[in-house]
Amino acid sequence: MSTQALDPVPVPRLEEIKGTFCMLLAKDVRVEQCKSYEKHTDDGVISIVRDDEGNALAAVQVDAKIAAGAGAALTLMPAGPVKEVKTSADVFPTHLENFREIANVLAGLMNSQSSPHVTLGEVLRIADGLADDVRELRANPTRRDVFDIDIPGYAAGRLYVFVR
Amino acid sequence: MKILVVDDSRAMRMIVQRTLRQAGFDATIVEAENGQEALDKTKSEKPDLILSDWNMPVMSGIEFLNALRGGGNNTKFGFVTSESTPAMRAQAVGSGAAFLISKPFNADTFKDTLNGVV
Repeated sequence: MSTQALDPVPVPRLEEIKGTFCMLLAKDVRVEQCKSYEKHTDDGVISIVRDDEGNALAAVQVDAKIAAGAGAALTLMPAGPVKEVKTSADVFPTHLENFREIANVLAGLMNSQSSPHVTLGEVLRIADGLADDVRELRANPTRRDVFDIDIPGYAAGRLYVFVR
Repeated sequence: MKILVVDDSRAMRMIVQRTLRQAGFDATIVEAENGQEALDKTKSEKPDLILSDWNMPVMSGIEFLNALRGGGNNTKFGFVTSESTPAMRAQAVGSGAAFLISKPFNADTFKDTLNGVV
């Protein structure tokens, strides 16, 4: 399917993001939209959302501690190790694998009747390096939304959505 | 009641089980990681209800459902999936699924949907 005549992929709504975290973590996760412009951090965990032709049309980046905290909370792992996370290089593989579940649901929310069909691609530690198309998407999105997330007992931080 | 939960993600199988409990379904849970394993477990475990993901390796959820119905098995079947386009819903119903629950869901979603089925 050509992506030329279609709308950009939709950004998940605040209540959809909150619903995703609350459902998966079984916790009352606080999610609020940042009103002010907040430049995204250089580091974190990023999930790439690709169309059926492999183009990176969107990405969801979270602070490393959010990826670790959500990954731990998902399967009731202790919060202790999450407190030690400083960079994405510190995110345990198990936490990253669990975080993929959240990223997968968020990617599903980025489909609509009028936009290209997309699915979750890679979920990466930014510290491991990014492909050129993902770097370009982060640097020059057509839309970027920022959310504050607080996972009680685990972590608080930011979630950024980039849309091409 | 016995429910077969099919998803390639262990975490998601756990979340579905937890949500079933929260929704008040006191069921024996059987798990499978893909459609092929689920097909085998449907024969051996004889569940009353199957909750299946759509996208899975080895055999997808819709392939599993088609194989099930093609073999004459009419166990109640619903999808729990992160993607739910109108085309997917139509395909699911056309193949014999009773419902499609899209993620994110909660206990109320399960209660409302499953109470009409089981």
